[in-house]
Amino acid sequence: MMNSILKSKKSQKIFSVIFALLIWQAAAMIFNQKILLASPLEVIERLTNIWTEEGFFASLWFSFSRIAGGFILALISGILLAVMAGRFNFIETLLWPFMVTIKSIPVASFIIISLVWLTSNELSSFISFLVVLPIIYTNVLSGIKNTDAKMAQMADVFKLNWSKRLLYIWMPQIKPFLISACSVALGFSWKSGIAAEVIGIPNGSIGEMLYEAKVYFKTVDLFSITIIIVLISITLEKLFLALIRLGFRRLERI
Amino acid sequence: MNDIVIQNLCKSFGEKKVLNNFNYVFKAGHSSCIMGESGCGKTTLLNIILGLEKLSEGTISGVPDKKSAVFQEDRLSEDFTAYSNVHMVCNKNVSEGGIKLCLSELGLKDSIYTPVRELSGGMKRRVTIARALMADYDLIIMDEPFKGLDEATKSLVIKYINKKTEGKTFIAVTHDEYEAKALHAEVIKMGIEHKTNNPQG
Repeated sequence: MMNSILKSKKSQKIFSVIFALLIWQAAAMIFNQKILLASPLEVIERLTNIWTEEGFFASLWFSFSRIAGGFILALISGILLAVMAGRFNFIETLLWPFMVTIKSIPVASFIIISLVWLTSNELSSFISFLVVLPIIYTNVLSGIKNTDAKMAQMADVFKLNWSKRLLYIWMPQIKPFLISACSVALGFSWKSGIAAEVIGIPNGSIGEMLYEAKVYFKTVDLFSITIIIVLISITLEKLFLALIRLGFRRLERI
Repeated sequence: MNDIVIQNLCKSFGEKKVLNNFNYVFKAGHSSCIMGESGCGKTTLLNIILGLEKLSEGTISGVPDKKSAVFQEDRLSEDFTAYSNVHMVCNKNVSEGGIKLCLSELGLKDSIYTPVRELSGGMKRRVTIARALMADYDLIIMDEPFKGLDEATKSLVIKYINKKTEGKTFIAVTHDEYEAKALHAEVIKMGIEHKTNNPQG
């Protein structure tokens, strides 16, 4: 009986989470200092009341709207640029130094450089945009470049116009690349956006909450806010990917 | 519409000569079936006529601008429905009803809005045939179009092809004499010897 429960993957995951929580609780009890390490029980208790604090949802909305805005803008720009680069080689060549630069410079450097030109309120959108753009662009361009040569020949014989090639030939090729790119980029955009807020400290943001928790040694708050950020990131990823898959299904029924 | 005139056609892939001084005239508005053993250059010849392969030497003239094809492989958009795959090549003046009728006549009435990836091999083959027949063309080329079809379905499909390709230049590759006869086509037998001979049509 016990063996069969342990064999299921879901049960194994639940057991490993419980094991990790027990280790965490034991470590917190050994240290016995809230400032150094908050215990999971304290964090769970804090999670039950943190949302009742004034301005909590406003802070969530502040960070979410800006980071999501940057992500959506990067998603649209990345797809458009990749489609253009797939069609015209010189565009890929022109964009190459920009994409390589963005990919190789550390996010922290970008955040600090951007603060010279932007206000802290605009920072998380811009950083989210910068982090997501090369991921989407590179993946979509790979999808386009992997287009089946035989399908391209079919399109040539039937003289399919550009929009039909995009819908019937390129889109099915791009689909898996775009979904995997979005899955990676969503997590990155959320993490880098919050990092930008912690450095830029815009008023009424999650980043500011994190920063204040650190400054005032509110370790329980620090852990609780981090867990909220992780939960939002996972939920957004699942929702957005479901939405994208639905969008593709709709297009396939045209 | 003009005859398709092929003169002294040569095609090599590296050192390997696939077609050597091939000559033939495909008469406009007529059906022709190319037969021959594997590797004698049938598909290469079709690809050259379709403009997908460059010829190494010789000339080819009279190929119309409007072409349609059933390739050796299905080359379908697997995520899209049978209807969408046919609709993709149609002119604006082709109605939804026209596409549905074509698919129904090929025995796909219950699979019109089924994604192609869910269809069997024989059903996919019929979708590729429907797609080729619904396109706007003066020349239609089919490379082993009946691959994977059972005898009853093959007869149904051949009848429909004969009806739809009347008056158009039709070139098919087949390994079956019965198919060539049923398509009322002139037979061109390509063989290793034809690589050097000049089978004047």
